[in-house]
Amino acid sequence: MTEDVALLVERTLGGDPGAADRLVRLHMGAAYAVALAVTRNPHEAEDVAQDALVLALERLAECREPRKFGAWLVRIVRNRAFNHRRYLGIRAAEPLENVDAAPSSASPLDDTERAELRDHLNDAVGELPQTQREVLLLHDLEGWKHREIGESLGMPEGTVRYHLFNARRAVRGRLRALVGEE
Amino acid sequence: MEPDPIDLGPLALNDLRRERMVRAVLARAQTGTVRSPLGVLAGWARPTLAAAAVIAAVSIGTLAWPATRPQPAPLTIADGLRLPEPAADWIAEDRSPSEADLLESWDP
Repeated sequence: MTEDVALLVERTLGGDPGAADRLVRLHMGAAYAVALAVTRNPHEAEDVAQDALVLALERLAECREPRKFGAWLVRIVRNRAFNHRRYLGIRAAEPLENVDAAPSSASPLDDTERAELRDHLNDAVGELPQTQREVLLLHDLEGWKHREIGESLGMPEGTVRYHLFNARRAVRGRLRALVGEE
Repeated sequence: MEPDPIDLGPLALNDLRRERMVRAVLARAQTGTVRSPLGVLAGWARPTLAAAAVIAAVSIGTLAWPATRPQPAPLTIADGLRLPEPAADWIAEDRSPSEADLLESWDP
């Protein structure tokens, strides 16, 4: 994230709609990734991510360190996701639901392969402990740095690396097993 | 040594969904469909505090008013017993009235 997030926050607070647009676009993926890691349901993750971002914009003045808006947002997303799960009474052991993503512009064969790969990834990532899911999704899906993830999740960089190492190894092992079963 | 990154692209939001979500968030945030509990409390707190300040000002004024009124002179024993004025003087001077005093104060 090379863009000056603090400046975007400042401009958004000043009423600049372009800055708000950019701020939301920059962080939508991360909000979704964290929501997905907690809820393990793509549809619920979308709802949670949207609610959290709306809340973040409404309370933007309460963000004490605009430079760390991402970390602040992740905390809001996690809280909302946990509340959402508590509200629905969902058990932690439930697997990720399949994503019924909109068809891409690729050929039907590509779409089928992609859907299959997505299902395998869902299964493999869904079996990780929650912290590993969050670390893996933020790093390998959203491209966050170890430091940023550590600030967001409240853990040292070394711990982030440890979780990432274990998460990748576990997902690869699970994917190999899934492919071998076919 | 970390294992190589995993391509989690298939789990990502596609462009269409992402665009819809961004628009939805911006629309909701602009119309203020969600308000923080603190914001709601702050909205109520301002008129409530103003009303409390008015009540406090009126109460303090009312309580302070009797203290500023001129107080009547304290009652003496003679006033309390409704004694005629010469008698009050005799009591104040701690003496018995003479015959002349009695004749002087006689008012048939």
